[in-house]
Amino acid sequence: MSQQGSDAQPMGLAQRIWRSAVREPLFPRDRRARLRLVMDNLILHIHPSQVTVRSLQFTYTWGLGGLSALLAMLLAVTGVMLLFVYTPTPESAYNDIVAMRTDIWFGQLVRNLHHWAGNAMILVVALHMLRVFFTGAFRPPREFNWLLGLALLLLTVGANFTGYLLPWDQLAFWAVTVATSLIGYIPLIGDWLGNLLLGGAEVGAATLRNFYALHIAVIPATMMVIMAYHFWRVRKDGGLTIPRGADEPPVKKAERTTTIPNLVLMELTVALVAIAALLLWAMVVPAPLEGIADPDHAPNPAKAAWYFLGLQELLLHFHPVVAALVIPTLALGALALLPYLDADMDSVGIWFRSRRGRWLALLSVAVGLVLTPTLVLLDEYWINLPAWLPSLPTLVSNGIVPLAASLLGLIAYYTLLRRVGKATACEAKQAIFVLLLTGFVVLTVVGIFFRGEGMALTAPWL
Amino acid sequence: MSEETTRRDFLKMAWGVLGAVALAEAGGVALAFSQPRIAEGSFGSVITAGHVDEFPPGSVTPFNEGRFFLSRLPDGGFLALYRKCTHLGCAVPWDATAGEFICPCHSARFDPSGEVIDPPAPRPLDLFPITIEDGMVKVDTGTVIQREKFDPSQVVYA
Amino acid sequence: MRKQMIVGIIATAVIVIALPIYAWRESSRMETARQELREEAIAAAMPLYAENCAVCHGAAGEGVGAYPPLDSEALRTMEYDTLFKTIERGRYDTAMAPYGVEEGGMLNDAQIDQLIALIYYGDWGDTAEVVAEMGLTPPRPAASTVSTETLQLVAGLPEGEALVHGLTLYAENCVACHGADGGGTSLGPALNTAEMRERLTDDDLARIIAQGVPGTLMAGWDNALTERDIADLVTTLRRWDSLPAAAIPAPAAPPVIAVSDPDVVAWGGQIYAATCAHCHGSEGQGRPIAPALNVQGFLGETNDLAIKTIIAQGVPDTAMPAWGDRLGDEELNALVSFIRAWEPTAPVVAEMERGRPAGRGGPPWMRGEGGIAPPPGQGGTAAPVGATATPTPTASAGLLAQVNWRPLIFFGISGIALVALVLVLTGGREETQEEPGSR
Repeated sequence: MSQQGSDAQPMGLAQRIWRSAVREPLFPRDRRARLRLVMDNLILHIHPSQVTVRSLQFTYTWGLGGLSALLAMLLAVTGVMLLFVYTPTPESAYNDIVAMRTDIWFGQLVRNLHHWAGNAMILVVALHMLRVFFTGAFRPPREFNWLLGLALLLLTVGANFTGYLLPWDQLAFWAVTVATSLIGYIPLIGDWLGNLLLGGAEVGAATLRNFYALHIAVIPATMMVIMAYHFWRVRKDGGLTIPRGADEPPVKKAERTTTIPNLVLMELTVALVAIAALLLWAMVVPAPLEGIADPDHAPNPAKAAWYFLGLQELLLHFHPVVAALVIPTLALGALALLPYLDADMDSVGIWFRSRRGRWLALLSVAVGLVLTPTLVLLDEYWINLPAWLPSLPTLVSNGIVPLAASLLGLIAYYTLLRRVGKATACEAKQAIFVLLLTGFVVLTVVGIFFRGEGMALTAPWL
Repeated sequence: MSEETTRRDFLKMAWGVLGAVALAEAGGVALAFSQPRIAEGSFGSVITAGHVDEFPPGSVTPFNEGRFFLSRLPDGGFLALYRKCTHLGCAVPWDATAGEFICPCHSARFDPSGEVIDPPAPRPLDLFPITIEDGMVKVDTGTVIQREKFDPSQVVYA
Repeated sequence: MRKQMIVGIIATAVIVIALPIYAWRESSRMETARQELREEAIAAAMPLYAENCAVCHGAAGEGVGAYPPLDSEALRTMEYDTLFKTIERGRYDTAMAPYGVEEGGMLNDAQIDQLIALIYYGDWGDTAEVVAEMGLTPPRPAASTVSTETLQLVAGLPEGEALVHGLTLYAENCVACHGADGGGTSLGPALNTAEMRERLTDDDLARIIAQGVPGTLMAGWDNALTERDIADLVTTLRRWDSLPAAAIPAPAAPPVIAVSDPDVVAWGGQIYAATCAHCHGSEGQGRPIAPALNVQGFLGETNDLAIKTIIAQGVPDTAMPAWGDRLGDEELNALVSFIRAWEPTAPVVAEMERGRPAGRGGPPWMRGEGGIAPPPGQGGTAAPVGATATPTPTASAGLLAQVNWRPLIFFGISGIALVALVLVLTGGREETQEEPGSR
């Protein structure tokens, strides 16, 4: 447009330098300028130049995807800062963390930010996955992006897990010991894989090195690549799905508006609120640090990180191979196949896919909340399958048998919902998903709060 | 059409296969590179525990550097028990008053021969091979022996 | 949209305001953190001190007998490095044993740091309370008192003041080992003999009392006694023949007999496991810090009374504390019974090869194979070091033997299956796509 200044005066040097870098006016005044800026800007061109008005509704996506990306960036920034003051050897790791508390300006703040952002990220990406599931936004053509998201979820957990060891305190040392022992239960390659990860037979200096390399290089690099792919697929698959009410017909021609300023402003606001909230939290709540790691003395009880405690709780009820390998594999496999099994309802954009879907989800939550604690108590104090079936190996009596019983229960629930509840296959599968999700959350809560010394069931208020 | 494309197709496929093999080899190199080194220092090597007579029958002696307990059974036989709990890897201490190994993490219990008294341990404590040369007990902490049950053949006699 | 802008502005304002407030408080936060860490260290150090140090250095760090106090300006101004190494490695030619794990002790670096924090900043009154709560207040060495009549009598003799002082000191410090009236015990020779008075000059006596006799139970007392004290003691020793007999009564020592009652022996074993095992080894076979008890040499030549006395009085010049006040008479008897019960099976020589790696160690390239004689004490085996040395993989071990086959098979089969799957899924499309006009 006005690239050359007025006819009267040629462009000054400063202006020429500016114009060479910034080709479009940074504060566009009209619609065409807004569209062009999105397309020509390195960062902004992640977005389409126009978005559907309805998808801007905050309570549709809750900004969870964007929040995940924001948290990842925050973790990268704080992580790089921490790189300058931390050395991954058993001799110095713990003292470096202590020094952050006592001798480095804002050391405690940066560490807290990093720690809480990391924990928040697991919650946020899980919620993002749930949002995508419950609004049917994983249906074709978005199935592959769902898989990419699953990969990112696993990488996030991996990043959290590898970072957990780095402070080298009792909490870190034994949580990692427990979690890597879970890997040892994988048949055939379990021990080899565990040793590879640990750099030896036990957690030691080699483990710290390995986890450090994974945490600062391998996992972040992989995540960046897959994140880029993930965002790219969002665009290619048609952008955000369009929300609608349960009784509305699908939107044929959605109204669109420019990305600038509507979407950009929304993102900026949500990001700033999130940063402010995280900052305040990090200023007040310190990241935990126990005594220095002591390989000769395990604490009682020894618990893995909170996001693994559902799994650790499962271990108390099933044979280790079933709890540590079979169930997670089945769960991951089911999650991966979900979009490809979603056949009979095209209700993308409707929360819980339909009115009946909502009711069934609610019902499943209730059932899960009642059933899971009941089963935990029963198994803790009464059920003893290996004693009732002593002739069978424990893999069968305490593994295959309860697993088969649980699967049969799920099939029965599914059939009941379809026949009696008249649910569609989609709604029934959603209900099963909610039931299992509720069960897993309850198990995690039990694992965090209700397991005390010797991993015995104890009431936390006593 | 079939004759010409077949040769080109064959060459394409051959190239693809070769490329896949190259990738697999690179993967193998990366894996071998990442293998754990033989432990620097005591754990992972052969440790001389002491003279046979230093360990009275019925005794359990801890060796923290070697991560094991040397248990001498009442009949005089030796077992080197890896202190790593077979449930989830915690270091199991020896409780002399109770005469058992009691794991602090999830309360698994083992008897002096490493057999499971109380779950959730799925199998007895692992063993390290023992050789006795000229009355000196030597424990090879580089080799872990797993077992489903205690067997008298696992015990080493002086 | 206006709403969003306002929310955004508020959020930014929160950040803008919170950071400077936090920055303003940061230096005091760091200082508080340092203080908290010191306090945590001191709190953790007190039980450690009670268990490991109080026996010699006193419940309130005041020192016991010949052992120096820790509650002193000298230590509070001592360099960190010196303090650390003293605790970790001990002090040559003194009773201060090495306590660092690397030297055979039981304290890791973090624990030594905690003890140093206690020395620098700790409140010794609080420490004494913790020690008392744990029941570990150390006993005074066995002492007796001189009757006032004797003292009055002695005061009348020439050099009476020095003699009174010397007698009192002797009754407090020396009687445990050198016996009533200087008659000697199994632990220390008689001092009240003409032979000794002839052989040793005053200078000799003063030097022996001040510096002790290396290699024996006689400690150096120059930390606990002033020059005046030592001079008075020398005077007393020199003039003992003119002192009233039986001036210093023997400290009460009941007879002790080791019993073979299995319950008593078992109880003694429990006391041993809780009290003695971590220095003398779980089966009395000794450790770098303490000698073997479960050997013919010791058990054959030391009678029950001597064993009990050594346990009760401790051994000056070593890390063996005096357990007499902490352990009651019954417990001491049970311990003696337990120790005596070893005698039938005690070996002639206790080899103290404890947890040493076979071979000599060092970085991987330093560990050789074969040809070099093993270090002494390894049982004199003729086999080269390489036979039992660390199995470092060398070229001669063969690549094939080192490959871990299981994961190779797993990944190999998975890879082939994956390739086959891809081929199957993509194959067969050529025909349909070649059909003209189908696009």
